[in-house]
Formats: sequence, C-alpha cells, structure tokens
Amino acid sequence: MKITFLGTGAGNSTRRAHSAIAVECPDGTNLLLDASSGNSALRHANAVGIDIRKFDDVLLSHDHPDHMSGIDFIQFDRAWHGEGRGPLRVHASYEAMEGLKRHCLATRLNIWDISGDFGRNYEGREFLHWKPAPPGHVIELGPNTTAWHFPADHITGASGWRVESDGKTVVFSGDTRYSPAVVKAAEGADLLIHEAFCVADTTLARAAGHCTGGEAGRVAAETSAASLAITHLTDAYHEDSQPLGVEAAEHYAGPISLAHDLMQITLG
Amino acid sequence: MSSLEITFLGTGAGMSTTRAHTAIALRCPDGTTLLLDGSSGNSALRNGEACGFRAIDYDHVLLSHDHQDHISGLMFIQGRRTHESPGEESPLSIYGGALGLEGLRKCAIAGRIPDVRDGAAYNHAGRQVLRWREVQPGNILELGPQTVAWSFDVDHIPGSIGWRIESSGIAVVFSGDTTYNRGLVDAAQGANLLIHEALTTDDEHDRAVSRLHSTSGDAARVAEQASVKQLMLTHLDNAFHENQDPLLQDAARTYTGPITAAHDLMQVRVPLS
Repeated sequence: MKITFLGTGAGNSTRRAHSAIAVECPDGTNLLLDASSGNSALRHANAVGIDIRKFDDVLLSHDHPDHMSGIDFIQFDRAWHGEGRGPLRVHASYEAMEGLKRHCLATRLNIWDISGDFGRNYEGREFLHWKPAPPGHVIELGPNTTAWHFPADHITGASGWRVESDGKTVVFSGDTRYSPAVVKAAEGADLLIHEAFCVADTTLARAAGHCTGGEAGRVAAETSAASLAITHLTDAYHEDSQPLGVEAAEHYAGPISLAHDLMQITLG
Repeated sequence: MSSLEITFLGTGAGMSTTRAHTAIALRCPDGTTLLLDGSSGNSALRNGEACGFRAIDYDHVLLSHDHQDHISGLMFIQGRRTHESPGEESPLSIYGGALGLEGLRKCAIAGRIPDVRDGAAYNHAGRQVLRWREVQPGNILELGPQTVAWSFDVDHIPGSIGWRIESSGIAVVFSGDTTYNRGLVDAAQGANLLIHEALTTDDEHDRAVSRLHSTSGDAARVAEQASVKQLMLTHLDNAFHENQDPLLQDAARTYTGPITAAHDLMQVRVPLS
C-alpha cells in the first residue's frame, strides 16, 4: 500500500498544496483522500509520476473548499483524457455531498446538472457519481479494499476515513478537534494520518476546529496505531515541523512522520 | 521604483497538470500592485509567497473572465488577507465585465463566503472581504497616482475581456483568453509589452479555435499589427511545458520583436523610458 501526500497545507497555507492524499492499494485499487484545490493534486501527482486518471474513487472528509474544490479540475481532466473509465466516484457523508454538489453547480466547470446520482455536463453525460453513505457503512472499493467513514469534530458532516486493503489499515482524521470518535475508529491502524494545527494551545486549536500536535499524538497512543503521520500544516510549521512531532512524541512512543508535499509512505 | 515589474504567478492552460493556472502580478512604478486574474486553489498565494508577495499587497484585481482556472484562487486570496490582517483587512477590489463578475459572485457562494450581495461578499465576522465593480470597454480606471487601466472585448466565452494597463508611461497589455482578435490589435497599439495567450502551434489552428484560444502565430500577428515592443506568450498547455521552441518559432515567423515564453515565477522588468 503506497501513500503519497499530494497536499499537506492548512487552508491558509501559502507554502503547500491543500489536503490530498493518494492511496495505491496492492489489489490495484487507487483512491484519493480529499482533492486539494485548483490543479494542485493534478500537478503533484504528475510530479511524482502518478496517473491520477487511474484513480476512480475520491473519499471526501468534508466540503471546505481547500479539501474538495480540486475535484473540479480532476473530473475535467478525466473528462478529456480518462478514456472509458466512467464517472469519478465521490464518497462522503450526506451533508458533505450536498456541499460538494452545490459547489459543482456554482462553478459549472463541466458540471451543469447535479440531480439524481450523477453530475452531468450540458449534454447529459455523467462525470461525477455521488456516493453518499452513512457513518460506518462499509464501501467495497476493490477486490480486497474497503473503506468507511466516521464522524470528525470540525464542521457539520465532517468525517474521517478508515481504509483497509489486504490486511493493512490506514486511517485519515480529516480536519478535526481531538475526538474520541477518531480514537475509536482508528483502533489498531497501521498508519494514522492526523491533522495538527499548532502546538501547546489546545484552546486556540479547538476554536479553529483543529488539533495540537500533542492531541494528534494522544489519539495515536490511545488507539494503538502502529505509526503516525501529521499533516495539514500552517505556514508556521512549513520550514520546521519538528515542534509538532516533539509534542506528539510526549504522548505517543511509535514512529512519527511529519508530512510534506510529495512525501511517500509504503506499508507492508 | 524605476521599472514596472511583472511576475508570472501562473502560466498554465486550463488543462495544465504541470503549471499553476493564470495569474500575473504587476508592481507599478508608483507603488500600485495589481493582479491580473487569480489562478485556482492557493497557487497564486504559493507562487506569490515565493516571489515576495503577500495577499494584502494586491490593491486591485483585473479579471479577464470567469473560468474557474482564472477566478477560483481569489477566494483563497481573500481568506488569506483576513489571516494576514484580521479585523483590519480591506476588501479585495476586483474589476471585471458584467458576465465575469456574475461568475465571480457564484464562485464566492461556492467558496462558502456566508454573505454575498450588492457587489460584495462578507465573512463570518461581517467584514467586507470582496468588492467588485463592473467595467465597460474603454472606461478608464484610475488605480494609482500614475496608473490607469481599461478593458476591451476579446473572443472567448461571452463577456471575456483583455486589459491595457498604463503606468508612468509604460503600457502593458494582457489578452486574457481569446482567439485572434482585431480589437486586441487596436487596444495593444504601441504597448511596451503584450502578454498574449497561446494554446497551440499554428499547425493546430483549428483545435485552438475550437477551444476558443489562439495559436502562437495568432499572438504574433497581434504583436506585429499593434507594433508592440515585446511579446510574451503564456497560458501554455502541457505539450509546451518543457520545450517552448515550437511556439516561439511559429511566432517569430510573423513578429520580428523579442518573444519570450513565460513560466511560473518568471519576473520581467520594463524600465521607465
């Protein structure tokens, strides 16, 4: 299972692409955890030799523009060059899906009709397949790959995702405050990808809807994850991310990676 | 400042997977800072940061049209302005044509700005973060003590415009997205610099036109007929990301002045004459 960080910046980042993670599974299933903004996911995939047109599923954490608006350009690129692969499937909570649909209708980048199960262009051709699901509902993404989402504590409808493939488990927190729901869902993960916004000031992090590095470490420890990757960094931690990792390590004794754009992790 | 400084924050066509989408920053000799189009996502912010621009530096944005690769980045720029000067930010000032601004309004709604009305958008704190004003072709905007700009119609999607900026005697013209356009020839007369889009080489003229874009030869025809002093090609497709020679060769058959192909983070200075 190969995990590539296509974007690791917080919403206000001026140094990194916004959140997107490419997951390539051993059974050939390719999926995106969030879609970044603009053409950032496309550019960074291209830069590391990943053909994003072979990614048929996007698992969306929530409908903030820095996490979802890149879908505009991913589906547009696929519409022109994704020969015969069919509509891009988007999985999300019902609330986040409604946000995405409203976004697509407002931007009208190739998508003119959002009714029913599909986003369609002006000719009625289907380019996006809306696949909303309730929390805990297991989605079959490939022969040996499943995923389900769980509530995160951020905006209404925000979720994290648990992806299991050939015995390996990756859990992505999405954007969230410290949350027992994430701890529960991440139980025994081989890799926990958790956001962190700042160090020390849990009140500030909480007010922003995010976590400290220490809280990310706490989640990893409480859930017995085998490894932790910290992402969604603000500019303050772009050059030197170590303070986040140091704080996480006060709670968590396992291996900690501080994500940066184009970083790759292989499991198994 | 004894020159007008142009920084290309994004030079990729809409389908580019190699470059940031269109955005160009202008530092004028009188201190006015302009942004031509806003790229997508946080690309203009990231490339701006790399070249010493903060989001609050932009005095005005001049919009060419409302395709997402040209406008959606403005939502992240306004958000960043609040981050850089919370509670004190001035609204990001945007000029465009009627249809382009209607697209911008929808983009602001899509960008989850909570209150969008009457040519402005207001954030959760009730502060005005975007303000847009409609321009008519040829109407002169006074943007700084020595800086003016006006728009002209071009041929792309309905409502598409290009811009002529004049500052301390230097004229820079931006085509926006367009097919070959006679009005652009008139608007670009004698400019120090013409920044023109080019999607394909001349042998793919039909494809360029079908996509409502220009070939590099089309751009060169405008440059030659308008007697501009310098031509820069931008809005490049992946095919020309690494090697722009085919575009430059086609353009050089028609235009005899200096021709450059832009790339992300490229900076050009036009000295005061």
